[in-house]
Amino acid sequence: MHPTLRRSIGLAIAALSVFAGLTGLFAPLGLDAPEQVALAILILAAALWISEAVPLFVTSLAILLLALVWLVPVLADADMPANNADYTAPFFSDVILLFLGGFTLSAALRKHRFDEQLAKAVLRATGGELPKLIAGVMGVTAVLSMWISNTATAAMMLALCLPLVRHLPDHHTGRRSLILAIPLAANIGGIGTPIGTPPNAIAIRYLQERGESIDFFTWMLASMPAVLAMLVLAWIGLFLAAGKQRGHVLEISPEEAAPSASPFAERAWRPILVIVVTACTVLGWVTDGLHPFTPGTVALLPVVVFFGAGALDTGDLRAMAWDVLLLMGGGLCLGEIMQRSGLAATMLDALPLDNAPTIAVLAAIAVTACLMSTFMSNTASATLLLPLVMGLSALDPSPLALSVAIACSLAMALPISTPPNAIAFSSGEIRAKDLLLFGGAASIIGLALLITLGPWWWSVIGL
Amino acid sequence: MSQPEPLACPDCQSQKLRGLYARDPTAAPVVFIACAACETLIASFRLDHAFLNATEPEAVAAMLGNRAFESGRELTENLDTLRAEAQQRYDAARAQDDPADANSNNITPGEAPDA
Repeated sequence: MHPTLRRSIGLAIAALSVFAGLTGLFAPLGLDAPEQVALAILILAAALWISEAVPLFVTSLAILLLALVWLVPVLADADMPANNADYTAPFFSDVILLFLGGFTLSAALRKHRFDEQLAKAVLRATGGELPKLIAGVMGVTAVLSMWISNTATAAMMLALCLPLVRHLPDHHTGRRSLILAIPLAANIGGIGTPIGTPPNAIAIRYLQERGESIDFFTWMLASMPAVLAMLVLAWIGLFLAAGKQRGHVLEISPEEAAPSASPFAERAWRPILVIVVTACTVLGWVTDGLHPFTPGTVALLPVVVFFGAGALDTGDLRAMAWDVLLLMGGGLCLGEIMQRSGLAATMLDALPLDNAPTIAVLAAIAVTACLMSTFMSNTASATLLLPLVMGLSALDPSPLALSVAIACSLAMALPISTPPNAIAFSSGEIRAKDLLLFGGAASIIGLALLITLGPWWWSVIGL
Repeated sequence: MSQPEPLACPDCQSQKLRGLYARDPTAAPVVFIACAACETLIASFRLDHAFLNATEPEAVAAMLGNRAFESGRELTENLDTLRAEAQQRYDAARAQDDPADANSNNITPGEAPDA
């Protein structure tokens, strides 16, 4: 669809939903006044996030604006709790602080080139053998994506791998395998930690609201088998796809895999500080529950120390992805709107899900989340789905939240599905049908594993 | 579109300039504009959103910096816009550029100065 037409349709639906909310057109659905307003805001948010008619964070701010100027007065008229702070608070909640800390670690590690050092060390260790190289690229990309932005990791790995790929003949099947390894591993790696990708943190926030807190370590325990299984399966697929040419050994020139100037070369104290504070922060996160501090509070440590000590400067602060934080805040705000207006409960009552088999409900939710994320932002998909599904009384909240978050990250069939896909596709080394084949297969296999083995594993670890 | 005032050296008032393109692996590239006659520094431009056409992955990495895009579609459209705008502005600059003009700058590659 042409971008202008897509945006026009999105804007038209958004405008119509506001019009319908203002004129009571939703009343025949049996909704009361606050629910009608909430439904109008929900449709507006979905239309704008799917069509990307305006930048994603603008939609988040529009949600907040409509909550403050429209929903709060309607709630007050209906003698329901109506506080502005209920809707502004999500923009500076613990989850947002957690991600701010994650962005700060990412900026510091990248500024001091620790990510590149690690990647080059792995490339050197593979000796240029294609199967090892694919495995090395996938491993390092996935590990970095757990802690650093998936987008930045994919861009860095692509910059390192493209010169290597160009040693191979034009039609060598290894070229496609090596380049595809990057977005697949970046998408899969993001599942592994609460800060790996926003849907994870949003799911944790909804679980906290339900009194089912998952700490940092438990999330890793719950998700890591999926990450490892998906990486191994993806590697097998890419290895087989390389065909008879998979035994090729690439000649890696000294310049391509030479260690960059070491961050420690000048015995500067700031790189050492970055490593020490990063280690302390991660330790604080994985020992959540053994100390009184929330993950968001722990995340303030690198923010204060790195900027205070000059390891990062004001320019680095300005360069952070504030739009992503606003997008997350808007999603959480939308959740508040749906809960406090009563719309989430009303919509769930209307769905005949309570008597359905658990696996069928989980499968329906996971497939929906994955399909939505294939065509729109993972974060927006999670923020639209989580407030709805978390109200399902027939199912435990933890499997629901984990399924939605992980299913959102499993969407990788199209170039637009995720930023790492878009970056890899922009290199010109892979085609859309390559992503459809390998990314689509990863999505389907991942969903099958998630639906069948996920609930079993989560029950084993006590979730 | 109004034309900006031509840059001139604050010391010798010469409008004959030279440029120095400086790359620093840990920061955005910088273009320094100096007086070609007396070497006085006149201006520096930090290329936060550098477009490097020759090495595409580097161009993407330079543009992204630490940014975490949330949408593959948004990222693709950003890249397309960046490429189109860079080419458009380059074509416009070439059309205005007169090699015989004293303001015609000679940008030469160089190393970043020590931090």
